[in-house]
Amino acid sequence: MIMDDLILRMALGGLGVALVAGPLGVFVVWRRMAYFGAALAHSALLGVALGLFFEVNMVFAVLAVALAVALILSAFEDSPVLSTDTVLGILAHGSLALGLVVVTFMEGDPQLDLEAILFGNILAVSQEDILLIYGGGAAVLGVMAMIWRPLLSLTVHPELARVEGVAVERVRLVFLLLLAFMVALAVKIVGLLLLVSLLIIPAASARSFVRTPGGMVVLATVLGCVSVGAGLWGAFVFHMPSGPSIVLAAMALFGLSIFASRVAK
Amino acid sequence: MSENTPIRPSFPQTGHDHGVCVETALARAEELCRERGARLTETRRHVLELIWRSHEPVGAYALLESLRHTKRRAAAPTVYRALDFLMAQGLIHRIESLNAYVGCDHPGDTAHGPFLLCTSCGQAFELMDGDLDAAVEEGASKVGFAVSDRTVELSGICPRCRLAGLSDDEAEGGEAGDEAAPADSPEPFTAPSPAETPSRLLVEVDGVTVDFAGNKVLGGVSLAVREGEIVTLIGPNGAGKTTLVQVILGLLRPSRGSVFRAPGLRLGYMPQRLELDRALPLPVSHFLALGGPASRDAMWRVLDEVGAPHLLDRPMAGLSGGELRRVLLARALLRNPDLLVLDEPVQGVDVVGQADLYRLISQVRNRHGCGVLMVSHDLHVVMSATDRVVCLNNHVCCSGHPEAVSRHPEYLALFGPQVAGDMAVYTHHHDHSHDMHGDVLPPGSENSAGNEPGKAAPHDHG
Repeated sequence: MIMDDLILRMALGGLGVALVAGPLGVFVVWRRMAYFGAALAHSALLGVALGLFFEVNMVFAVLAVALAVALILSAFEDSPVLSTDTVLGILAHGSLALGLVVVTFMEGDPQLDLEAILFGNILAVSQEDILLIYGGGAAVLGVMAMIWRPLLSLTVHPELARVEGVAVERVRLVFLLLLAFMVALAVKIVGLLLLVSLLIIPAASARSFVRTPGGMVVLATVLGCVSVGAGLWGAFVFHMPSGPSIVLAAMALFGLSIFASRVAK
Repeated sequence: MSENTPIRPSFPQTGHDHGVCVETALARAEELCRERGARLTETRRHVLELIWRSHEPVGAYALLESLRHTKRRAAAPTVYRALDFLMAQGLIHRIESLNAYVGCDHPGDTAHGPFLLCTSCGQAFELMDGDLDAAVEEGASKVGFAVSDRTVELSGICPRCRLAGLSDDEAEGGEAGDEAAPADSPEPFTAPSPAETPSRLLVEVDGVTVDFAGNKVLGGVSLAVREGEIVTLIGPNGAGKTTLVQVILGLLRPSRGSVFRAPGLRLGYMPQRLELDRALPLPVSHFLALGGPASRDAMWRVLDEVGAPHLLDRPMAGLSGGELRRVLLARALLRNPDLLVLDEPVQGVDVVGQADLYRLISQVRNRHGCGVLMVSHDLHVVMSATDRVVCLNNHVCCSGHPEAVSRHPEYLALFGPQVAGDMAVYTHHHDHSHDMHGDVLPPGSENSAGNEPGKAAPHDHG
């Protein structure tokens, strides 16, 4: 009975994250924000450490740090002297280093499992986490639906979007905040090192088979769910950490998609 | 009946039985297609009938609209294919300046005379005059020009409208109601020329200065665009043209100076570049919808207007340079703008396509009466399509009528007479640049550059 409950929790948590990752992931690909996602994910270590220190739920602590990093990044977005790329590099590694230092100070804390933070440990997902994933995920998807057209418009051409009345800065900031939410929700499942791949690989696999932006969102989400399902099964059966297992499943699907699109031509 | 008898007289009398015209035309078309072994399908026949039933040239969109209300509802591509077929068979003609079609009076005869387009009743007449055709052909061959298409379109007033005194009374034209163009499409050729009527001021910048990191990109630039006017910004690379456009669009705040935009001004913007990520699948219809909610019908209509109706479901990534420009223009037009701002509207388009695009822009201005501000690299290609030119090199060097600017000393200093002369090679549509060819002007008149337009030295057209 306990086993069934665990499997159900794993599946629910994984699928919840995959559902949110689909719509966000395609925009990460279209807007070339892979590195941005990685920077947010790296900052999660600091969040986990601070969460343990202040004894608050990890999801909230990670969310707080990721939001702070997203805000700092957006403040630097139009810097006249530094490219976004450079600012990202500084923030990603700065927050990772800070997180590692805090973790070192807390050595000996039985709750601290560095490996689980880096690579994900779906076994640690609690009922509370599931509620957070679905509640937060629904909120993220709701906001995504609201900003869909302006976000797509500014992705295609920011100046044209602005002339047509899109509040470009605001929509861009909202999307960054949604990504920060996504990181907080997903870090327990895939781990911070591999988090970005859950956003990018399903979207990349979907590209050759779709003709519209909406179609790409749907297919990327489906492929993400399949990857999570297959990956969790692997993690469970072969006692692997859940993150690498999910990413490997996504990679396998990506390979298949390349093969299928070649054959189709 | 003889092959060359026109189906209807050149200027039909008020009382003529139009139904007979239509019947005759359809019978003739069927006969011709049978002879040639071409298939006049139901749809093709129906489209031909609709064109003939209308008293005015009919646009493709209006055809689609009227088909919608019949049982023979056809998909748009089918209708366009039918139009292509009818054109290829010489059963209909396309009136370029109206973007519309008329039935051919004498199918089977390859020649077609000049079209007389009445600006009052909107009807088109074909002037069958063998002598005129011969004269045109002869004139062209005299200068060694090989004619491939001899379509001439003249606009004016037909005898019937002249007799009727051109009053608002449209008793005669009213009978053409059945296939009339959509109500909101404005009458062509009615845009007032800016010189005649003082039109609404759309935007005005005054003393605008922009500094980038201590680098003065624009210094004290003033410029205004009014309704119905085409203003072209011209200048070398780095002259600040795009910066000025950004100030006018409200994308950039000037360091100094004021910007006025008419209250409620609707802007249509066509950017210089569009770089899509390869991973973004985007059909043209979805791209157009990004500008605001638009029905598929509205998209059809606007794509038809820019001459690209077949692109609606094509992916943006596969468009050619010219197609992309047309789609960008369509997105700007969908907003029903008061002012169109076009940044390098012909970039990435070959020379022939450039002339087409500039003609299209003038037509759009004529149909919508909007103001147009565009940026261009070279004056000579845009000359015929613009009312006023502003030559910019961080400040306004000179501005005014294109002819005057092309001979202004500051313009020549900026581009050099050599460059200006090279450019003039492409251009057959303007006639006063001869002072840039040393051989046309008498020696010593090189300094005529500062002359007023219209005072050009007399020259021989040989």
